[in-house]
Amino acid sequence: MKFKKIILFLFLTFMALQLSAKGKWNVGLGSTWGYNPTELYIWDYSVEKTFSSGIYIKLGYEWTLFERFSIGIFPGFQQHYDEVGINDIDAEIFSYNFDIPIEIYYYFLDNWSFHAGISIQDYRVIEEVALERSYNARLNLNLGLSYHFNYHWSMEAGFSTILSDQRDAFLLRNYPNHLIIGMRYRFNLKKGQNDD
Amino acid sequence: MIKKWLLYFFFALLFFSSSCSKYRVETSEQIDISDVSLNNIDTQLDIIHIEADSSLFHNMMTFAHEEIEIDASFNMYSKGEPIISNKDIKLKIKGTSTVFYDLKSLKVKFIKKHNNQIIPIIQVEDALPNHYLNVLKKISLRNSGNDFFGTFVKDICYTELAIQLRLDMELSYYKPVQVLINQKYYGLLNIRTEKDDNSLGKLLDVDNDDVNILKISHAGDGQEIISFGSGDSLVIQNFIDAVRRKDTPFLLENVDLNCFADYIIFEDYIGNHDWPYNNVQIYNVGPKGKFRFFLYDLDFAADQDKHFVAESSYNGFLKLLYEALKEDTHFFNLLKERQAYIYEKATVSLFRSILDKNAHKIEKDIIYNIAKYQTPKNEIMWYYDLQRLEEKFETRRKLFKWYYELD
Repeated sequence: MKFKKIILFLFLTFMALQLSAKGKWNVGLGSTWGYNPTELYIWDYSVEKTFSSGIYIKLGYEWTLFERFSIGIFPGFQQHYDEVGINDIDAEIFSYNFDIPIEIYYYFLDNWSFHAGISIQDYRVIEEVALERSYNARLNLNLGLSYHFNYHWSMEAGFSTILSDQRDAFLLRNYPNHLIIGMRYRFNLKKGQNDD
Repeated sequence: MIKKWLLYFFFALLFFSSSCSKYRVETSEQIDISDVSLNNIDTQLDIIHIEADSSLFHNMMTFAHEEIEIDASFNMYSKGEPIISNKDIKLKIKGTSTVFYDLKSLKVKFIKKHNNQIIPIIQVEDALPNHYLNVLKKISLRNSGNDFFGTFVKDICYTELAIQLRLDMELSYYKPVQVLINQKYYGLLNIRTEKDDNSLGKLLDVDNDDVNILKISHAGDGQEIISFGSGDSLVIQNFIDAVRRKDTPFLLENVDLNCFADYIIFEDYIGNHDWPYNNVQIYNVGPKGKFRFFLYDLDFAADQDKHFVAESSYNGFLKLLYEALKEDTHFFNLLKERQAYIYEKATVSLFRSILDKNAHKIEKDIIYNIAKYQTPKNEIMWYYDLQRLEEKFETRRKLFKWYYELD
């Protein structure tokens, strides 16, 4: 709970600052897929269908640092659904994850940008609360490429993988890697103004 | 205006984004637990059926912490055939915090002692030397303690590890069984041999009245209570006084050093963090018997990876005993020798084989607990916790090696 309160506090502070300022906002929406390229065993049984699909939504702010570089914070929310088979037992997994990425953007060839960064993602597994594992905050490495159609619209493709060693939840083992593809819309809060 | 809506949107996003994951598991075999009876339960395990007055039993279950004991009748079935019928028992709920679990541990006291050689309630292939299970007076039907929400086999796996290492100590033998009460399914439980003076006397084949017991239990906030269990209180008090004044010569003379070394090192090796201020039973036989140790309640083993006896802030009774004996060179060398032995023999592959054997034994039966108590939540979570149990053992072993600089 403490972890989440800190995130909430930082986020609200960030919001308070940004709502009184002018700048580049981004909203993103798209699809995400989780996968595990290796054969996964849970106890004596192999896990079938190590693949999940879902959607993400994020909203954040981007500051220009230099001519071609910027930094962005895009808190978001991912929803995943998957069907898993283990030892002839079928399971449906629904996952709703809060994600806070901090990413550096590099703009090149006029219409393209590349970004790299890290994010903290909270995987909370209801079934594990009784085992005092109320949340599983994990560190991800994020990489991505965007094509900008115009000032407002861009399309992004990305990859993220869990960096944390300890994966204390079945979900984290089953889907340590994620791919995303989606659209972003960039806008200013005050029309015609852009401090960057 | 747009600012306000954006603010609302973000608040909504935050609240709706409370991370969570949920598993919905479907198995081909669905159990209607209300229909489960002696006639249709599908199990390879032995079945215990207890019959008691319904209202008395209900009262005992409702006021679980009040140590109510009721009369009951004990029946046992093996491979579908009755092996024990209508044996009179006293029945009570066993445990402290676990008495509030839906599936409560039960203590069974036979009115007339049971000859386990003729009709085995519990069979042990390879008991430790000088342990006898010929006669049983009490057994418990245990819900696996705090591991009830986890693997259900943690305590018995660590106990089996101590048995297979042939450690020099007393412990509680086990066997999983299905239990029905008044024709209704109660739960999958582990039969455990008991550790009171009567049971210990039978385990060691000595007179119960000669067994003197000292117990250490948790009083909260890491504080311990040292209490007289049974037997001759003067013998126990002399031992307590000797430990408190750090009387090394007396302790060297009166403590079974091989047993103490194995006990301390094994508890340290498995990283039992509900110990040593709790779950300690020390005993001796007669006025001059050497003090030995009973290993039990290992359901918190390997939960705190970096807890080691040598650096623990614990400064209680066992630490005083440990420090007093460590001054002796022979005992110090014995500790080193047994530490190396336990580390070498208690391998990950040995633990895995024990875990596999115990878990596969109840694999077709755990689904009854899932159906009745939703604990574990489902088979996949159970598989996952078994996997984690093995991994935690491996992590603890690596840390033990690193901390004590073992080769």
